[in-house]
Amino acid sequence: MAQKTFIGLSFGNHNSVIAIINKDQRAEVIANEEGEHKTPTYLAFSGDEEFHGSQAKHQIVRNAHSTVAGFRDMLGSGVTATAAGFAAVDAEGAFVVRTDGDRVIRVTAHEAAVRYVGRLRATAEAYVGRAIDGAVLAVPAWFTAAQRAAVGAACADAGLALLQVVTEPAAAAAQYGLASLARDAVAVVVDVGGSGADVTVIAAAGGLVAEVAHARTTAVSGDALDTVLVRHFAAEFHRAHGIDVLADARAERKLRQAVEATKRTLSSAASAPCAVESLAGGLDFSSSISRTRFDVLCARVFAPLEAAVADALAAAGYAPRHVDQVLLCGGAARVRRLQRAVAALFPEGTLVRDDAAEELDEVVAAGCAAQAALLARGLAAAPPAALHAHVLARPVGLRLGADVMVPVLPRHAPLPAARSVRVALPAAEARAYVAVAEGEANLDPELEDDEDDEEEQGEEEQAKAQAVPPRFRPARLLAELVLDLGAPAAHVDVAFFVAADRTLTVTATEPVSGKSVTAVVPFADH
Amino acid sequence: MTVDTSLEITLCAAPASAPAAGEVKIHGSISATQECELSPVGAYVQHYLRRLENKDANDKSDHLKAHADHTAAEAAKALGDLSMDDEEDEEETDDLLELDPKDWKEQDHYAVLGLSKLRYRATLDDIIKSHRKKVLRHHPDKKAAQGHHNDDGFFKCIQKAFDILTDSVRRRQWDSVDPAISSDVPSGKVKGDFYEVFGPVFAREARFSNVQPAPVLGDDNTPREDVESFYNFWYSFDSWRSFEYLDKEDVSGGGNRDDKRWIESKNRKERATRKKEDGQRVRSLVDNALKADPRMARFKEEDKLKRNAKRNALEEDAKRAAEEKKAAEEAAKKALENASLQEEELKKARQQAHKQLKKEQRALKVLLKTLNYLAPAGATPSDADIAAVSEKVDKIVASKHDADGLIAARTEIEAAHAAGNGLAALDDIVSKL
Repeated sequence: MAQKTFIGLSFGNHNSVIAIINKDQRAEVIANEEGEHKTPTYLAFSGDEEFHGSQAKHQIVRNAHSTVAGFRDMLGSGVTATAAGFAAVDAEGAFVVRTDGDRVIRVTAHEAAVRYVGRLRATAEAYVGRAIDGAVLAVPAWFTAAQRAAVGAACADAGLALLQVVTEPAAAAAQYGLASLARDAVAVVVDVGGSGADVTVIAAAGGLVAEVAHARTTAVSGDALDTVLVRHFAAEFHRAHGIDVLADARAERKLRQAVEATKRTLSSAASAPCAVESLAGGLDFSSSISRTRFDVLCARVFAPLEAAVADALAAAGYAPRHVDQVLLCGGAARVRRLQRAVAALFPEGTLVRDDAAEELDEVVAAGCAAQAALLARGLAAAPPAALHAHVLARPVGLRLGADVMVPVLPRHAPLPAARSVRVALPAAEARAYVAVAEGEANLDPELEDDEDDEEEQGEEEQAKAQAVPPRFRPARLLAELVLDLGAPAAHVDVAFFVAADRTLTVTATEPVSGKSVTAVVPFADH
Repeated sequence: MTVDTSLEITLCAAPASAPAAGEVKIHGSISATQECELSPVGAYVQHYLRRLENKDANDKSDHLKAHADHTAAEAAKALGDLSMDDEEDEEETDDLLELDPKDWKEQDHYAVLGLSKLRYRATLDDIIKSHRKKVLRHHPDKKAAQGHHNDDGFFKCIQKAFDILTDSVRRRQWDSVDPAISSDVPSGKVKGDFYEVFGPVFAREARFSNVQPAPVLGDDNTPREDVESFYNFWYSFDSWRSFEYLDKEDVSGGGNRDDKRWIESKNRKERATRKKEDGQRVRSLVDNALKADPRMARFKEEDKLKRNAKRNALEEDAKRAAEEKKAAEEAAKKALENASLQEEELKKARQQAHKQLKKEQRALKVLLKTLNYLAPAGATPSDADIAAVSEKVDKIVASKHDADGLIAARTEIEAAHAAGNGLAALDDIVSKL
């Protein structure tokens, strides 16, 4: 069978990225004709020509009425609002593009998407050198079935065969390795893109990824950060020349484009320049901003993101202490201040990761490419229907005390699930006592260190206050097993298994002598 | 039982309410489960779906075990080809087993590894698999366990053969001088079917070509262009065959730089000579084939016929052209003759007419004289009468350009004179002019 060429496509509202798995089994992002890794999701019409990507974005300054943007979110959703200042949208949801001053073209969101995806496909084929056999597409988690179908239809019309449609947080989780290592983990995916921020709580159990809850805020985005800088520089310009840039749409668009570059530079340098030729009234504008100042300006922007994270965690039934990893993706997540703001929401031990791909914009596309490579190699198959699984509502594990519980089978583990652990036995005991309990998440908020109190409290109380609160508390005792050892032993192996019919089987075995005892807990609805 | 993880925890001691040793107390079941949608990413999803289909109540494993089993099965399949299938192996002769590793240069590496049928066609995979089989059988530790100590001679031969055959450069060198493959060239005077004799020889030599695949000899029905391109290819044969393997002395064997250079230049000269000989051998093979190839003879015949046909055709054309020219010339000549004849006749006619005219003119003048210038009978015309009559006659002669008119006038005048009114008739004719 000839080698199939599958690509991963992240079709965003602001930027799109295409990736492919190369011979070294690493994700490689396909650069477009301008040499950029991400292609802005813009279309522009000028005369008889049609531009896409950066060339279309640059048309905004002069030909805003012939530029089409934001069409991805309009697919299948009937949303007619679009970014101010671009091509207007008529009553039926089609863009009314004015070219050459007088000629008017009607372009529906579907047509725009078809043309744009067609261009992306051509870029990919030019890079790879042969026809693309299929693609794995990432859509936002909050896309409805109608929206997913509309995006699928647009890709089909553009000649791109879709193997699978995955959600962006799932692709990010896959790229960060949650779907390839059989470990159990709870992760929060923070995807800050051009038009909004998505927070998704993901539970990975044995390599199976489940999206438990998600929240979205459009107030925190790359655009919002641009607006912050635009206002700052507009104020500076106003102070210097008395002209209000924000009142002049064209000047504002020019400044916004320049400010995007400034924002990106600030992620890697301590200060960045901003220069616009002939900004308003024939006057040039040239200035610079330091990262510290930018951080201060942005600090006010991130509050909705913190709220979104809290909402998502609450909807999932977790507290920040339950989160093992925070996975960042999306272009705007490169801003250091944002990463610090997100990290501050979680206890110190939580791993905040941004290492899955060379750039955070490329994480989702790389995840899609990895999934496409699995499909090409036959190690995965696109499931025919949605995967509805029964999962544990509460973790099951060993109860070690009145208030201490160690989960073995995690929450959201798809059934059937099996785990086994080896634990130590207390010294000089002829019996092994295994208490199996169901746990509940400890949702108490973290105690804040109160400096005044520290002086008043004694040392013991200080130590107690600083102790790490447990993640799970035992909620219901399920079974008690007592294994007769004969002679004291060092370890006992405990195996847990929950079948699809929700029967719990626990087996405690002493590894050396082989003695074991099993408890079968049938399921009773209550 | 294998355990997933070891936890750094210690169980607590049994409380007073615990059941007796070896017993189990059930308190309650787990809570109701939730429904959740799994994301279809990663390699574990398909194993999970497969595990769901397995309704075996005694199966206490989950998809992780299914995944592990699957990967183990795949690995086993990959290794499975290396299973000890004794029927397929080549026989190990005593000579083979007694090979001295010090004489590794003379040994047949393919035979040592059990690939004497495949030889240069053996892929790297074949070599690795057969090497493993041989190693498992002849490892000195295994032999030592059976009582034969220090019996690693053949094992060393195996190792040497493996080293050479897995290094692509050295393998090429060995394949260039593989003694099991003959390098005979059949003569031009072929006994038997040309294709049967030369076909396999070219196939055998084709393995040395840098340009793969090399064209085949074909059969009687091969079209002419293919045959010609075949011979073109083989006359400009690009071969990777080289003779480093036959170097008598090795450069790396110590000694100073000058010695090394001397050895290397000797080696190079020898290799060049051998390569030239090889080239001549191939050239002679192609020459012989060309001589003996019945198709080439056929093509030559066809060419000759064509050339002759061409020449004949040309000749005929020339002949025809010459004939046509001749005919044309003759026709032209004839036409010219006719034309000149006609002209002559015309001329003659004109001359005659002219003569006649002159004759008549003279006759008329003579008549006048005879008729005494139309004077009445017996009278002698005076000079004035002669002059007047002559003048009138001149006027008639001047006006009449053809003889008939003159004849008519003459006869008229004669008749009139005979009747006695010659002058009147003359005046009449003059007035009629």
